[in-house]
This record gives sequence, structure tokens and C-alpha cells, in this order.
Amino acid sequence: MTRVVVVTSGKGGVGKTTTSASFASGLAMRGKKTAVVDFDIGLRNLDLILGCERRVVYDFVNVIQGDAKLSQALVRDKRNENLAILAASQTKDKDALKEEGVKAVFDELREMGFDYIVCDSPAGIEGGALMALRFADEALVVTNPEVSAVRDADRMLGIIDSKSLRAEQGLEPVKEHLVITRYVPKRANKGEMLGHADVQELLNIPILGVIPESEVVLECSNQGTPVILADGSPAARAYDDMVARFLGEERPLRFINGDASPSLWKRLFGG
Amino acid sequence: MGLLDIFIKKRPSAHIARERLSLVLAHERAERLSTDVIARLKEELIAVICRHTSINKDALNVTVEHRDSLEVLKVDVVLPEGGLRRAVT
Repeated sequence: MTRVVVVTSGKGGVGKTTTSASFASGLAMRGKKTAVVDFDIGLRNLDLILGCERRVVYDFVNVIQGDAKLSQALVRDKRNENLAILAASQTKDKDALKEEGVKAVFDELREMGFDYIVCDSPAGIEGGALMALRFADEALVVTNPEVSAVRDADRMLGIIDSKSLRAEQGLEPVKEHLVITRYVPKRANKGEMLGHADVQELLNIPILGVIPESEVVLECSNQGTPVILADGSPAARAYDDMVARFLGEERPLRFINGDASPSLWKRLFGG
Repeated sequence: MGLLDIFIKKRPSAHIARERLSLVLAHERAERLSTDVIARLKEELIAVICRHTSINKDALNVTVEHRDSLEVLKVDVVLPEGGLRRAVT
């Protein structure tokens, strides 16, 4: 059974694509056959974050419009054969995503035996973002500890609860998970930043992951490597925990008590 | 800065953020809920009224008005010419 998971937020720049790339890679690393689909038509970026931009020949819209086969458009990840990427179109207009077209592509991905379809949503609450959440079984709602991001995340939760196919058909509701990015435990402890418990309480959905602010994120995007592969860095380990929890493992939250940077001892001798 | 300020601890900004957010989210959720409820209410009212009369669907208007601390549900029904008439079944 294929599960469709949307990665969404409402607000831009909170780490949807970064999270999509690491989440999809993490699932693939655990043996799940995963397709990650970029819904940001006109502003393609997932390919760049995953480092496969030079191998994109056809895109999502090409497949929907029948200009290419799905198998031609799917780009296999070089690091993990379980992961395939479907890039967004860079040229076509954003209204090219129609519900029937998206459904047809998803049905084909199901037939191909994918365990997970990860939908990387664009920012905002229109067209592409609505289409990204339309078929979702589960949602990762990404926010950082900042008032505008939290408010937009709440708005997005309302939209998932009313505009998803599951909501409209009165099926079991979309399972929602909270992912908090750019977390700085020290500042949260000092009362300079909303704490993860505050954000969780405000949005009232269970936390799947708290990702610490990290220089590694920019370094990874520079190189086209998903953060989860940045061995040993707290952000990578936090993403790894997130994927493990998603698949049902119980893991306590880490990197929330100001221990985000390893001690000198650990840096010198590992650990 | 007054001398007293040294002894008064500044309130952490995260507390302010949490308070502001909890207010704005509560307000927005209530609004969201009421628009959903109104849409459903309207649909059902139309169905009921149409069962008994021959009014036009557009002749029914449902709104919620906020008056001070009260919420007032207003249902406007424009009756067809000739007043109430049973719908032709």
C-alpha cells in the first residue's frame, strides 16, 4: 500500500524542501521505495537540493500533459536506488497541475510499487500547495519557532482538514505531524525563542522532529546532498530520528537542551 | 533607564510571542469553524425549506453577526410571489 505524505507549511523559507529531501532519503535508506515529487511549478528546487539537477530531462508537467512517460521523467537518486525524484516544471505555468493529471501520475506510482510518495509543497495556500495536499494520507507540517511561521502552519492545518480528499470524502482524517526547524535550544531556554513545547501546544499536533539550527544545512545545499547524510551533525541525526519516529520507532527528542554543538572532547575524540 | 529597572526582570519575548499567538490562533480557528458550520447549515436549511415551499436557492441568506459579546445567526428567506406555496412534488 502506497502512502502519500505531503510536506507543507504555508510560509516560505521554513525548510520544506530541505525536510522533503531528508525525509525521502531517510525513508529510502530504510529500504522504503520512495518517490519525492516537487509541486513548486515554476520554481523548481528539489532537484538542486538533492543534487540531480543535471539529470532532469522531463518533469511532472511533461508527464501530466503526455509529453513523456513517467518512467522517463523519474530521476533515480545516485546514492540510493530506492529513491526517485520527479522534478517540477521550470517553464510551464502553475495552472498546469490539474487534479485528474496528478491522480493519474500517483496511480501509476502506486502501480510501480512505491511505498511512499512524498509531496514537496510550494509556499502559500493556492494552486500548487492545495494540489500537493489533495491526496495526502499524512502531512508533515514544517514550522520554525517564529510567530508568523506558526500562524501560517495553523492556517495550513485548517486547510488540510477541509480541502484534502480525505476530509471531503469523510474518510479517516489526514494524519498530521509537526516538524520544528531552525531550533536554537539555548535561545529557547533563555526565553528568547518559542520553545518546542510551546509550538506543539499552540498547534496541538504531535511533534515528529525538532531540527536544530545548523551551518551544515547551507553546506549540504551547496553540495546537493540531503542534510540527513551529513554524518554526525546534530541536524542529520535529528532528521534520522524524525524518519525513525515516522516509521513507528520510539525515540526521545534530542538537541533540545542546548547540547546542539558537541563538546570539545567529543569533537576531538568522537563519540 | 531608571534605577528600578535593574531590579525588574524583563519579560522573556517568547512569553509574549506565545500569548499573542494563542489569542490570534483562537480567534482565527473560531472564524474558520463558523464559516464551515454556516456553509453546512445553509445547505441543510435550503433542503428543508425547499421541501415545504417553492423558494429559489438564492432566496436564502445565512449570516453570523457579531454584536458586542453576542453572536447572532441571521436567516433571510425571500418568499416567492404569492407567499408560501407547497412545492410541487
